[in-house]
Amino acid sequence: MFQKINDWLQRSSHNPSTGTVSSKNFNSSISSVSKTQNSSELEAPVISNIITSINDLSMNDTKSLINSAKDSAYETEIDVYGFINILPYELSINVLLQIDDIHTINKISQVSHKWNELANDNTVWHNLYEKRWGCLPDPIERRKIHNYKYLYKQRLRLNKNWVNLDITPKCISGHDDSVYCVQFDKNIIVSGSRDKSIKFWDIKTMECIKVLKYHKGSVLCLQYNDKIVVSGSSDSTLIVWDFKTGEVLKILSGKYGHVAPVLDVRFNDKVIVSCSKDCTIKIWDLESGNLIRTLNGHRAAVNAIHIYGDEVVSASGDCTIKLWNINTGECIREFIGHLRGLACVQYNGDIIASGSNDHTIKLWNAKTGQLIRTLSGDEGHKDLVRTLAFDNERIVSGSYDQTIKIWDIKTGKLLKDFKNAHGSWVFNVQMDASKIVSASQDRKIAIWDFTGDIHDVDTFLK
Amino acid sequence: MVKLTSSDGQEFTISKEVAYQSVLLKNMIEDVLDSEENPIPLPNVSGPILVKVIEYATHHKDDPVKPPVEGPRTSEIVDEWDKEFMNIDQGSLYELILAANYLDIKDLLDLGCKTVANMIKGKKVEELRKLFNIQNDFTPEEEEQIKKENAWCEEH
Amino acid sequence: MEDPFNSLWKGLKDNIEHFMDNVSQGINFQKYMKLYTDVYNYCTGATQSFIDSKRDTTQLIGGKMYNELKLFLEKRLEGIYNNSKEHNDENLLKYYSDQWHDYTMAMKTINHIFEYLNRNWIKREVSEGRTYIYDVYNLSLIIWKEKVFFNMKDLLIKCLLHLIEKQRHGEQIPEELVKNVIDSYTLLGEEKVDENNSKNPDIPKGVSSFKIYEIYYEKPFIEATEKFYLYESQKFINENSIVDYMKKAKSRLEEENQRVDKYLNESSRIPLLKACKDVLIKNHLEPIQDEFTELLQQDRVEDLELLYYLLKYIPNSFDPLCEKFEEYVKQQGLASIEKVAQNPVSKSGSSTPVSSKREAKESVNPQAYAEAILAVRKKYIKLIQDSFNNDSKFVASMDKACREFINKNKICNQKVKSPELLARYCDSLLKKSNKIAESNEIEERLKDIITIFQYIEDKDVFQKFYTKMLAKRLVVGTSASEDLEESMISKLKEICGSEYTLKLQKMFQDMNLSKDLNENYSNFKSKNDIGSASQDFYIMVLSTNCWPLHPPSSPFTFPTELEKQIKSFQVFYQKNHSGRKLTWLFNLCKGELKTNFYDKKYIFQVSVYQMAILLSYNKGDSYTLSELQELTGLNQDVILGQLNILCKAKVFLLKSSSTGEKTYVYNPNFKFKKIRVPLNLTVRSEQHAENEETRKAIESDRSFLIQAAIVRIMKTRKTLKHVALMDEVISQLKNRFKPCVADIKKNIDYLLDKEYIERKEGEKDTYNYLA
Repeated sequence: MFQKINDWLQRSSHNPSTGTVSSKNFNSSISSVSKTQNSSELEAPVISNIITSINDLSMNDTKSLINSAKDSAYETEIDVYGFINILPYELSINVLLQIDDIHTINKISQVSHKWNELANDNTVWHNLYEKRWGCLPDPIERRKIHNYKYLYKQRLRLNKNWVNLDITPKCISGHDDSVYCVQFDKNIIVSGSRDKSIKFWDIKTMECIKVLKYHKGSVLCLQYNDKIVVSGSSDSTLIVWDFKTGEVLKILSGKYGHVAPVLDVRFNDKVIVSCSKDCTIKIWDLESGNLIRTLNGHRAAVNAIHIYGDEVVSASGDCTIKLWNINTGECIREFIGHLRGLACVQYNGDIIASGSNDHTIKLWNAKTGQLIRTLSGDEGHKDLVRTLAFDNERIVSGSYDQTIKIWDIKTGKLLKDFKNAHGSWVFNVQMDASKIVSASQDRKIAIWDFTGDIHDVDTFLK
Repeated sequence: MVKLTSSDGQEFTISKEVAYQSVLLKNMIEDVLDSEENPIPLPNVSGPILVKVIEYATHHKDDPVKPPVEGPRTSEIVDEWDKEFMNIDQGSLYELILAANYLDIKDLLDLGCKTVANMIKGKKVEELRKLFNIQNDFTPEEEEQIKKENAWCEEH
Repeated sequence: MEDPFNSLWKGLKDNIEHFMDNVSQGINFQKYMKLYTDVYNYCTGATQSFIDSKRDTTQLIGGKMYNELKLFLEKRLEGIYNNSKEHNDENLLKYYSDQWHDYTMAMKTINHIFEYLNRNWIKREVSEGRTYIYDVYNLSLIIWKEKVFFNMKDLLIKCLLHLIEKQRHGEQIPEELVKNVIDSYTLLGEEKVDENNSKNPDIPKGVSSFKIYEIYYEKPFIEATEKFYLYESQKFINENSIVDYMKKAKSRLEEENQRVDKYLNESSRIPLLKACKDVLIKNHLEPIQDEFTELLQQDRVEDLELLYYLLKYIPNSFDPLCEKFEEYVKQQGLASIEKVAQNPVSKSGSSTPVSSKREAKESVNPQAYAEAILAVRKKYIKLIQDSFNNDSKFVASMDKACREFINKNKICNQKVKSPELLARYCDSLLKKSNKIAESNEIEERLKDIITIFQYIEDKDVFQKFYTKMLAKRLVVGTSASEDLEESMISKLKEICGSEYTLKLQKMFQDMNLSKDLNENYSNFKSKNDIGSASQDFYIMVLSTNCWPLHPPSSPFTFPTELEKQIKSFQVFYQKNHSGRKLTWLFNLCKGELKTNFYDKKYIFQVSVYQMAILLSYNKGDSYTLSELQELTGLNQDVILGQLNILCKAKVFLLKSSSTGEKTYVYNPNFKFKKIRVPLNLTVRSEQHAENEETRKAIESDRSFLIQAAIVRIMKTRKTLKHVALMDEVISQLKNRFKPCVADIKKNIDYLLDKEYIERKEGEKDTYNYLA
């Protein structure tokens, strides 16, 4: 069959003056070719083969060839063209943007050269990365141009390290008493302790770089951003500090303040929310420090809260979790199921995770109120689950049984168990893409780093 | 009311509401001083495809403006009507995508692309080549190398 | 081989050019779609020759078209700039404005025609970091800025400023045109440019695009404005009065404000007005401030308002004015009080008749005094309201001035000082017999009194006198209304605190208790059949420590007619309150005697002393002084006082007896116009003595308070320097009175003597507390 066409071509090349080849002839030859094509095992699209071999012909010739070939392709009603040749490049990319799993992309990259180029386009990998892990948390990194396929790969390797890598933690011993709470970013760790102080640590050198002292009681909870640190204490007050200078900006206490130890605090760019042993949750205006409202409803100490958007979730010793609207103060939903009091909670807009004195961790659907899963059993914790943190890959939990456990968030499977993580009760765990930082009654802060030998991990971090 | 003419000369009349789903038409109507009586020629869209497009736009004209999608986006088509609407042959599918691209109707464009994406999902490399009739222009060495480079994609 | 792109582009370019040359005609659907489709087809590769299909497909198509478009616009705008050279002044502005208008209108449509390019190639370039690529509309603005604006800006600003100056001189200018041109500055500043991008040499370095308006228009504009007003204000102020200048300044400020509304960018309002105020007002601050006093003196309310308005925004400009204001108000107050001091008597409202010269000197009419003060204050409160917008600085100055002239004026150098006068005025308002004001006005006047009271430094004087007068009113029964009394007390409570008013309220309580007591007593009487229904007996039992009343200075033998009542009441009371001691205050008691021996059945309203005297006359017609003294048991001063009154009223006739002693003879021809004859009048000398007493009591109270304060302070501080101690004492007592330094010193010495405190060894002026 090819021989026939080759002959015809030979003839044409000797007659440059023939100009346009009569399409009719060609059509019939093509159709005959394709018909035979069907019966054979050959898979290549006929037209591209022909095209690659007749690049000696004049422009006009080839143009009409293609056009007529196109027409005939439709006429024959065989889906001869892959979308990649019909659609302009940007639309092909758009098709790939609708795909969110890398297996498919991998398959696509093996089909042909053109498909390979598409599959390696940075826009596609940027999309894949963000679909899985959201955009990069550090705004400086976000603005840079990255090779997202490389980033994706590194991130996957990091994920694997969480399960496979054997690590020993690095410990910071710097407090004179139990460390109750901790938060960190890629440069520093900030910790609050029973010794009434808040300390800043350089995460690489593990040295103490700043101490904030003012509270008259243990520092039970804290949160910071690049402008302020907000801490709550057993002296029933909350203090807002300047992050850079360390000076005390506001003290939230007094007539409208809490009357018992402040057990947890969270803030966003508008309000500070605090909860206390006095069974209330208070919402304060961030700028002025004035109390906006108090949420009553829990019948025992409110041990933990978490904010997402305009909502706050609270976990109490009365065994319930409540979801509130910050602006109106109304309780939207209650989550009942734990058998004993709750110690910790986290909320990401869709899922609520809670840890309780009944030794279990429960995952709830925030919108419907239904229980999704309970993490417990033989491999579960053997004592109060005091603290937890989760992202869209895993949950990390710390307990009075002195262990820290890592669970897969989608399946609930226990991935790792750090027995004897601390010498005593674990009070707080925090995580980011590459590490866990934990605080304990044994006065130590432990860093569990899963980076291993992976480069550029800082790109993923805040 | 807005008058449209397809590439093959068919005339269609639609309401402004429906027309405004297409950013191109919206911009044009706002920019151009032409009389409403004159039809808008659409040289890149054939009659049958234009019918489909109008069908889509009419069905979705009352949709609330959706905020940019946050959170996990899947390639699943959620709306039943949309699913049924996309039940067409491959040729028409591509033409529909091109038409949505030309007329700048983002939702229809994404819908079309999703449909194609769904055709690709789950298939092995050979199946893809067959479905789309693509010739394997890799040398065996190249193929091996690509497989090796991307091996990490296969590990979960 | 002809590149098909070239013919495509030529077609596109010609059409766009035609459109831009005839913007007003617009474009029809057909043309629009053709152009759009051309762009679309090019970018999607439909017109690409197959040769290019071997190119690197990871590049979207569009770069070539973008560059051609850019070149086209640049060339076109260069042409527009070149043509501008034919115009000048207003014509230049018009040319610029027209060209700008046409250009931006056309580019909006062209931007949409190239929408596919925007959406894809341009977007991708930007996301890959090449931020010097822009969407078509922004690109067009940037090219205009580079090729037209930067070349023309000097001429443009010159024309604009020239026109504005013309307008300031009162000429008409085409505002619409000016607005259009200035708007272009704003719009040119709005496209997003990567300021730090050094790759594009076309953009002048360091020019942040948002600031085109600020740098190229606003800055020169404000400079020109300052120059203009500097010159004008200097000239004007040299040739005109200050007040006229202020009026002109205000009108200029209003004009500039309107200018912003009409054709400037809102962001200019604040810097423009600040610059104007600096030049127009700040530069001429002193002459304006100097004018202030004159305006005050002439009561020129409106001009003062204008002055205030102008100076409001200059920080600290009011300070010298406040000083002048304070001084002025003080002078006015002192002058007004002087007038009152010279005319002590007024016809209406004086409830106590002035009967001697000495009294005339002493008693200034309290009402006149209070009203003088209030008048001054009211006048200037109104002025502050009308002209100074209730500015608190001026209110503070006025308060300071009031405090000065209320506490240190001519009258205060006399014996009867401000607080006492005030208390008297108050008393006259609250009495039943007040003729000063209608009942609905009284509340207002009481408020006014409180206003003045707040300025008084020696509040304790007022308090003491008020208490005394209140006691009198209650006992004598001359209080006009309980409500008024209550309202006055609550007002006092706000200022003095409840400590003071507690006593007053106790006095009211006693009155109420007495009422109940009397009821019980009459029950007791009827039960025990004591009879004497011919006598109406009403007793008031008052607690000694609340009431500023003194036991009688003279012994007294009460008439036998009353004996029964008095004794039985004593029994009754002791029965229920055995631990208490009753002291009869006969000096305050009064009663009524029915007369049966005159032609009319007069009823004498008499004090008990007088009663005793008169009842003796039931048994005789004339008695000598000593006889009467014996009968009544009163001492000489008291009885003489009472007898004098009775003589004056012609109840008795004074005769000298054979022994030369004074004899008082009953006068049968006694006549009086009314049936009820008031004889129970206050004895002048007694009144004076009482007042003296009160003043002395105040002095001793003060001593006591100072001592208590010193002890209290030393107890907490343990050790303190002399000066510091003085300061603390003054500040602690300032709510009640202002202690003078000499008094404090006196009391310190007293305490040193009594060994409450001691001098520290070695340090003469430091004291230690002795426990």
